[in-house]
Amino acid sequence: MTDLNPKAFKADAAPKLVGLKAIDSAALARLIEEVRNTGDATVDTTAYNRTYHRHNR
Amino acid sequence: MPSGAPFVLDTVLLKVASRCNLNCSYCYVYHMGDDAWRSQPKRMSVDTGERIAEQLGEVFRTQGTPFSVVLHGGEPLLLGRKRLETLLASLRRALPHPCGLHLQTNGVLLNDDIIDVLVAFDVGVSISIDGPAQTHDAFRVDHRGRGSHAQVVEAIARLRARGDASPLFAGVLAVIDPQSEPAAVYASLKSSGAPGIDVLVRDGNWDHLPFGKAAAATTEYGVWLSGFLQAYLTDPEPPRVRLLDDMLRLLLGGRSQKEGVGLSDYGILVIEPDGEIQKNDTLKVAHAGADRFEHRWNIHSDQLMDILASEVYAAYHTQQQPTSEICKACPDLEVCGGGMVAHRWRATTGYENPTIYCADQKHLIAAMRTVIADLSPREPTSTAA
Repeated sequence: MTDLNPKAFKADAAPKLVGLKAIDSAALARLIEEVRNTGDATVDTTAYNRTYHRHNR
Repeated sequence: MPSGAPFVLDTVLLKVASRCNLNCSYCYVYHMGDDAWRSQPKRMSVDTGERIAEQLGEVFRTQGTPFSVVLHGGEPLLLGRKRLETLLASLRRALPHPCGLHLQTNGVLLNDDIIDVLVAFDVGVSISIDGPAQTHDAFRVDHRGRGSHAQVVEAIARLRARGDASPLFAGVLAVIDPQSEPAAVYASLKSSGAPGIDVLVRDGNWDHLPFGKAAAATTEYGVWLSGFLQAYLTDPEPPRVRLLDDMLRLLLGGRSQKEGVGLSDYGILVIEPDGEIQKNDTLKVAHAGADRFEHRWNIHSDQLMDILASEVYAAYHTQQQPTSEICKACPDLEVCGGGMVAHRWRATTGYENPTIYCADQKHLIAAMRTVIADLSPREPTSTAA
């Protein structure tokens, strides 16, 4: 059985993504725009449903 | 419900086939100690499908909010073309747009006949593929142990080649091998041409560590996901990556969509091939029968509206919210959400634990926070602690 010790759950010291300039990230820019414009992820119901797949493992 | 709000159904998982033509070594349905699939009919009957469609139509008319139905299994295409067409016709009659009909398939049986049916009923398609052939074929094998990558790639090409079908291609879904190279997996999944990518951690819990994880405190998956995040954020033309988008959106002050991320309610209903109503099927990974209600509700003998309004269903739904004191005090809770319920399991304390992926989540969230901290101060900032 695995030890359940809360002290084990600290993150490593500030992991840094090498060579990434956040301001240049297309993915981040897209998300920032969405949050700014809509406040949430549901752009429209059809698009939401179209991409709303569950998992088959 | 935690908020006291009425239950809103957002996803129905229809287990239309209880068997699979692949034998993936990590599958939670067949290889996690629960043999319930053996007692299910191989395929959902036409009668059961009609009853489900009828009752889901009533739920839709009553709640008003559209929801999605995902054909799932086993492998849902084992239903066969004719029965698939009949089922989809019943569902589409009862659930007009904007309700969504979807298919999560391993792709092996996705031929042009099947694609014709999917086009006719506007069924979104998500295909399971784990990345490059070497990674995929290590786990996603048939019953003779042969890899399925080449067949899946062919299926994707077939879908994309048809003008009437390519808009149905919604995404690819990969299960993580923490020993793989995340940038190579990202590049491979992107090359499928899918507009969306999702990745899943392996199933496991405090009593049975997930594949590739040496101990609760180690961060093999957190490190892998940070590598995947790096590939995603540096891609000048990125597809969607649902898991990462959801977590980043929460850190930016928005909301999440995905099960197991953030604290949003997730209204799922699972119906087995014989019409039995069950809990979230991933709970199987906790222990055999963990996904069953004490009372064996069935679409043939019970009313969905009564089930969804029942105290028992509300109690099950509430279970999504993390109850561990460790989680409640955690500054990352609003992003992590306590992870998947199934991954919190421990025989001695039930679900009242953090996810077994707690250390991995913290690693990934810390990497995301570092990225967001690099943004200009005028950008939206997180409301999450």
